[in-house]
Amino acid sequence: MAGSNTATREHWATLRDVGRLYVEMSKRLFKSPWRWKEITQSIVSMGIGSLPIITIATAFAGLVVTAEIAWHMDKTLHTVSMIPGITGQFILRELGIAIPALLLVAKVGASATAEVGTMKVTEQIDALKLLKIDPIDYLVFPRFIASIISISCLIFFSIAVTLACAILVSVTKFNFSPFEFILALRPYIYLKDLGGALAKGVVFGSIIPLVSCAYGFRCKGGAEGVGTATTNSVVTSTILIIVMDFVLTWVFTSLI
Amino acid sequence: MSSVKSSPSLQGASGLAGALLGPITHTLHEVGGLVLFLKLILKTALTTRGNTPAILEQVLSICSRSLATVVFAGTFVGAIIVLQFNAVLLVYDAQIFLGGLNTSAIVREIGPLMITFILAGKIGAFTAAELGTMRVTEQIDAVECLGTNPVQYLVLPRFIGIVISSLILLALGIMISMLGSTFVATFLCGMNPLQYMSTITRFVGVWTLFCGAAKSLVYGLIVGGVACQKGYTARGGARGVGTAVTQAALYMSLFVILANYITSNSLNWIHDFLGAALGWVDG
Amino acid sequence: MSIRFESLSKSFGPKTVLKNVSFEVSTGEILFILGKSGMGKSVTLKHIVGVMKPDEGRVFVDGDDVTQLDDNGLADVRRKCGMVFQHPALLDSLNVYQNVSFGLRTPQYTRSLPRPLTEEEIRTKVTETLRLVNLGTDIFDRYPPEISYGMQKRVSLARTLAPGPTYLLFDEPTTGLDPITTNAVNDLIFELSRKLKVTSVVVSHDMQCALKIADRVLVLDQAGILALQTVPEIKRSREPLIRDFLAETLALLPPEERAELEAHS
Repeated sequence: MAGSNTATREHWATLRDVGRLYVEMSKRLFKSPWRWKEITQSIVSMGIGSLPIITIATAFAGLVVTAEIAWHMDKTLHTVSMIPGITGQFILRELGIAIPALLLVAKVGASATAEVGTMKVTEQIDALKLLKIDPIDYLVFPRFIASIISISCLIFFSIAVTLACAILVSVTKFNFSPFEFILALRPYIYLKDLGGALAKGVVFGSIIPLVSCAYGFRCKGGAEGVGTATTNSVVTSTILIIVMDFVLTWVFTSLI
Repeated sequence: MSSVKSSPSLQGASGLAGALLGPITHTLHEVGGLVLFLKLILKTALTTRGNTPAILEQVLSICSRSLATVVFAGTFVGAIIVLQFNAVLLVYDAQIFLGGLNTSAIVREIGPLMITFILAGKIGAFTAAELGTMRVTEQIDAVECLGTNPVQYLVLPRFIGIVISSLILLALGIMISMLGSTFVATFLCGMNPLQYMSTITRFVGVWTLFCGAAKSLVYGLIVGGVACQKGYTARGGARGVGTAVTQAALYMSLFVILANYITSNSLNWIHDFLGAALGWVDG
Repeated sequence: MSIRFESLSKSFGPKTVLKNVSFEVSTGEILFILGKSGMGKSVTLKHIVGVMKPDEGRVFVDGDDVTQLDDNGLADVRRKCGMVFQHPALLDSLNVYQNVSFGLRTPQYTRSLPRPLTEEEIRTKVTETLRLVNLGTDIFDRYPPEISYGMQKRVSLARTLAPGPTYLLFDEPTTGLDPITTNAVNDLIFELSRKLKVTSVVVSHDMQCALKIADRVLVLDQAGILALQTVPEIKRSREPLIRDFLAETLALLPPEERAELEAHS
């Protein structure tokens, strides 16, 4: 029982660290010179590096969900004419966003925790401090900016891929022509949907690097510590993303 | 990481073709590694006895550790989906179907998928980290040198434990997300809970439940297999454990999405086949 | 009846770690395998218990070819060879008592007895073994993370000793330890080898330990054997690598020994 209490306290302490990192980031947004070299490197490794996996995953998710939605529509409304509208909206508001975000937790977040955690337990972070380099400036801020930029872009990219797959299914299975699909979809897409996708991209893109770096910085005790920190960071990022997804969905569907 | 060297002809195909083929061959390579590892576990399971107590212990430990997370996350998953469906259905003036559509989607598709993403982190990454630590601190070698089969002693109970507990936890998570969505439908979408629930039985029948269970089983196999494989084959100190956990988390999510496609299609095919051959039609 | 290597070769990808290595460990001796990092010291050790398979060549333990044995035969070899790892490698989920008694409950051990040990006998054996490494019964219920690193090392040694091996294989037993614990571990290796009449193979890069407790020293360099000599011969050696190893230990030796060593260089 004592062990689980310590673990819980550790979780809350790390969450407070995440909050503190958000404050630090917002200060740095206006203050320090942005390290564009590091930011570009991070964008290349996070964004471009994740493209293949995101393409494969969202394509398959799109294929399944379109077929599922069509099946449900057929059952409720006995017509498939609404496939474009409903799948399009669902992809744009949820599917094209949540699936890549959860994959990126594993791809971007876990590797960031593992990297920062390894630096911590091998005392590289202490070495940075001795060299008078601020680890937040050097490790967190470039990742933060790069992650917001690349995850927002990846989310729009995956929306496009998923939509393309939805069109593919509609064309092959339900005899739509691509042109018909887009025409039927057009009335159901609002500007606020694109705004919602962008907002989710920015929020998820900021959660992933900050949570992973916070867990990385708190890492201690060799191989076991790195493993535990990485696990915890994946779980916490996933849960935070799901909670924020709910909040943003509520804001964009009910309030705006 | 990869032990298979790409052949000269593949290396020659640089540029666009290489960029497209690279991830695909890499994914196939990972799938192959997973299949070989599952074969090893299966062989161990068939040739050894007396593993039940260790498996039950794992199931208990995994379930108690993940319970809170699944309840919390399940609630929100249900809430998100009901909000989305509500917005779409309002446009078509078909809010009456919200309960049925939403529950069907949660049971068949989104529930297993989203909750598996959480289990992948909570259980899968944990197991990869645990086994990875044992590997790099030579605990696995020690077990082997003391004359105990490490696959039987360490891997098998965890693998089967994960498969069984993911079935339990997914069932629980799906129920919780149904509760969460009823709650949100009542308080945020302004529906009468009885009205919301009245359409559920029209959409959710034995077949739908079977689909959910079948998918949960497949996802559990993937999470358990990838986690154990990545942990068991970890190499090289703290960095090695980090890499093992990262790769486990990534490939679990990726394989689950790919498996989702395959199971969905197979289940639909079986459904059509049963419908055509036996005249059996059900939700 | 002992451990014999016959023209053993092993490569990892393009890197040849061992090439055509042959030697024999005599019964009852303490053999040190010395060499720089990455010269295949640990790899040699892992071949004895069959955790690693050679590319070419054979390894004999008591006349059995380890490379050709099936699982049962391998289990017998592993019962005879106790392996002590660089890390304590204690199972974190088990307490000290369960860790030390682990080897006493495995089928490969119970097979060598007329009947499995009773819980009583296991307890006696664990107590005795822990006394051998100077530990008491008071730590039975502690878990590995709760005791000091030096203690973990001893418990790990006790775990290896419990099933009564005829060969003890040590993989860098003193790496990462402070000088005082290093001395204690070295004394323990020496005492145990003599007291229990076991044959010990120690992989190390600590020449000082080797001079102190070894009977013979095997020096590995560039995938092959550079020297396999008794301690006095090693002290007289003119090989540059061995002189380098010796030079490091000079400052730590008593004056008369230092004079003797310097006389040869």
